[in-house]
Amino acid sequence: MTIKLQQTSVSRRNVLKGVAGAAGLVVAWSSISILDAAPATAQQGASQFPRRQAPTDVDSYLAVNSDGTISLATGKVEFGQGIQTGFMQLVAEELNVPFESIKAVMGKTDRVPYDGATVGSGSTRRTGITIRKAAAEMRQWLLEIGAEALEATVDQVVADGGAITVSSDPTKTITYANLATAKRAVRSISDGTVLKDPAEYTIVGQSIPRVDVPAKVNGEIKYGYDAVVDGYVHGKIVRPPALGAKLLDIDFSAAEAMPGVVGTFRDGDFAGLAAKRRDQAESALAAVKATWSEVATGNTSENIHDLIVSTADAGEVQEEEPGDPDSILAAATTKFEATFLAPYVSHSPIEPKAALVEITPDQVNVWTSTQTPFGVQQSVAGALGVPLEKVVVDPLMSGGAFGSKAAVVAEVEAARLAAGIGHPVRIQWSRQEEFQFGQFRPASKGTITASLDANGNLAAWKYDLYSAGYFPEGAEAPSPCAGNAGMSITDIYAIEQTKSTWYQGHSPLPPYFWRGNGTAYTNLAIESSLDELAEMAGKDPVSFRRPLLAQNPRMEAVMDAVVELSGWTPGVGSTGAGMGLALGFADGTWVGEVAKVAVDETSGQITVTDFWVVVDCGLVINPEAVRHQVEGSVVLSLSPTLKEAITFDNGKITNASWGMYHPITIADVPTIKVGFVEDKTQPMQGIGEPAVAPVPGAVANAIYDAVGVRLRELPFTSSQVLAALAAKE
Amino acid sequence: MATTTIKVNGRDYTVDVEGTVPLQYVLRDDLGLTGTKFGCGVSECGACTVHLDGQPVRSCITPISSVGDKEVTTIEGLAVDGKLHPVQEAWIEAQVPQCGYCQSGQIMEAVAFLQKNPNPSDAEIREAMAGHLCRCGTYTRILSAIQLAATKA
Repeated sequence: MTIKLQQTSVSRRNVLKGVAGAAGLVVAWSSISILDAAPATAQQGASQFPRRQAPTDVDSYLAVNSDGTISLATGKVEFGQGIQTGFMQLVAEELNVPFESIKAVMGKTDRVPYDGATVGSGSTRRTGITIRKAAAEMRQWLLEIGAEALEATVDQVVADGGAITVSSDPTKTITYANLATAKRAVRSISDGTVLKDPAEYTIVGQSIPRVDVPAKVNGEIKYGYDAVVDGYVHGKIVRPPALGAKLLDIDFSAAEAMPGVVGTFRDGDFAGLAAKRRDQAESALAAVKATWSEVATGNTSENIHDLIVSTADAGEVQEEEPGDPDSILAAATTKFEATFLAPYVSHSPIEPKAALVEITPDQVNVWTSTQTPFGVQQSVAGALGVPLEKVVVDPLMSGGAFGSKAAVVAEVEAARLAAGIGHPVRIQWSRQEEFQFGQFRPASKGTITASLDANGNLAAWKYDLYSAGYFPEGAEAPSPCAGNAGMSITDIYAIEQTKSTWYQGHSPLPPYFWRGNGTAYTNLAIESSLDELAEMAGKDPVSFRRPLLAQNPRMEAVMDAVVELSGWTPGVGSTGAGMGLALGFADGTWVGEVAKVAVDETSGQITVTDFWVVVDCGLVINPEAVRHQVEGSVVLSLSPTLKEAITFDNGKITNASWGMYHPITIADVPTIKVGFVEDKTQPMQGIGEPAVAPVPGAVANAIYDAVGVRLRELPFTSSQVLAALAAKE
Repeated sequence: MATTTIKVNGRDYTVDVEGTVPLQYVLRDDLGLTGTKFGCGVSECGACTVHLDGQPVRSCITPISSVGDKEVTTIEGLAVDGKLHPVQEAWIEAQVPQCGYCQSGQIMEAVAFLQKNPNPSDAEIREAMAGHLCRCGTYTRILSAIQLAATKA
């Protein structure tokens, strides 16, 4: 039971320094606030907490209920990618119970086992394996205790229909509920856990309709942006006009006098206010007088690539044992070289960041849209200086994330403001804040240098990639953002003399994980270059790649499958329509994509009419859900391919609205067909991101097939097409 | 602040707010009808779409003072006596939503569109729905669902 701390209208400053007895503050009950009782200070931050690991015992994940249902608890979160339904299918399959009998709880930190963030296309291929094994161990446990209860041996009984039954005498039967309600299995998963044979599957492999869909067509499902609690107020943070500006001076007096305002707060560069209504908070925010330092770095989107290269670190060779392509290239008579550019790209989830934080004497409650409920718990606990377990996070449905909600931002803002003003605070970012204060897929510049041998085979390959890295003050290494993802050609192709070096330059905008990370621009560089080398060798794109896939039968099978699915018929030149191929590998999954485009040589307009994708992601739990993820990946990835680029000037985003940034709309989507290559004995692999990578490469190769020009600068615009066509003549 | 009475999903609600407050804020925060979403606040994404007398409008740029006697219908008001609207049923059959955040606006637009154009071509659907952003990329399924709903009407 939580005890509410009664407040007066006096804003509670310096809560963390323990001034609960300040004049005017009335404590309704004798217990002091959780904030005042905590030993840690906010300065220690989230790093004071020990590293946690997902448990491996069955009872952390599964329980049998008295009504015959099975409870499943997991620290991963569903945000439309289908893992809730997929995990339910895995459990139902291993336990031989109906799909409908599984009740899943996800992400609520006081009710589920710890797990890492829902990122990296890792839910099914990591936690999914744990859950599948846990269910298999539970089945084995039920067989054992069921056999005992039925006075039989384990091999004399079967687990089916939610009961253990003696095979030779079906009258001897006992339900899971009667056997195991309120009992603990006390066993863990292991490498030796025996899983059900896929040949016997009746639930895994079925396109069961996703359980989260019905509440998404009638307005019922709640997102972080919708969260409410008694007495909550609307918070707004005072923002600088540009990134990097420091708060010099702030005058809240006009804002404080405005209708509905309940409090203001400042701590260093962090300043905010709250009001009873959102419109009142917005009006009050406009009345705040803040003075910020000037940002005059001279960094703009025009010079970003020069900046990244000129401030680059010493570079990190990606191959464990790099070859010596330099020697071969030096001796080669014909060399190939191409440079590829990519700008920063915004996540632009339709739901901006939001969080509601309520501080009670016992605990801190957080409702939010997040990919990382336990990360939120840690960051909020660190920011407030309270014990970890006193922060309870309830992740509501997330309105789009793509990496942006793996960062913990609005939650800490809401927590600090709630602590500062003494009311539960809901922070709701605006779209402009999402653009200006969000994080971005890093800008990059990469150069491929390569040569062929006398037989027209790939002999040497160098890839020097420079991407924008964020170096926080005092940090030795840049913050991780996987800007190099997918850059190693040897992930897919067998070639010895390769050297791939990743340099990170200083980024004026904060780069972060963005669905697929660097794979879209690295795949473009690799797959476009392979097509160009194929032409130099006098071979078609498929024949050129085949010998390079001699050691990669899975990729070769996917390539052949997408060639067949698409009816691969490259036009080789000037019909204005063309097809292009690109292959990719990420998160354990092999992907082949073919794009068909039409290019208007007068206007330069690029129209993507068709996309075909084949994936090999190992065992498929729910084919329709996988198709959906692939379609979504293609549509999302087409947007930076054709339309998106952040423009900025001295820390200010200059196209900070969808009117200026224009993501892809339904008017531009191609027909998308998805096929599978599936071996059910192969482990389940990721599908949230792998289909993102080959999109720009397939489009670039299709544009070349259509009108004979190679585009190497994202986004591919009509002016780039026209310039390239003019240069060709 | 001024007292205003508006009719939403067949019910009268009286609120005491400034006339300039967007209908979206009143629906979401005063009436608790959170099915209508905030995406941008400036009519660039469609997530806030509701009906005024059956016509689709962007509630983010509709001041409460302009509603008057018009009937407001939100996503919560589409189903009648617990029975889903055919467009909602098509949306489930085609498994359209991923995160779902943009879907209320998409559905409200689609319902109004099909009332005007019950037998649309692919090109007409694309043009009608082009103002509704979806970052999860459900566009191809929105096309299928609208075609499906059209055939079932």
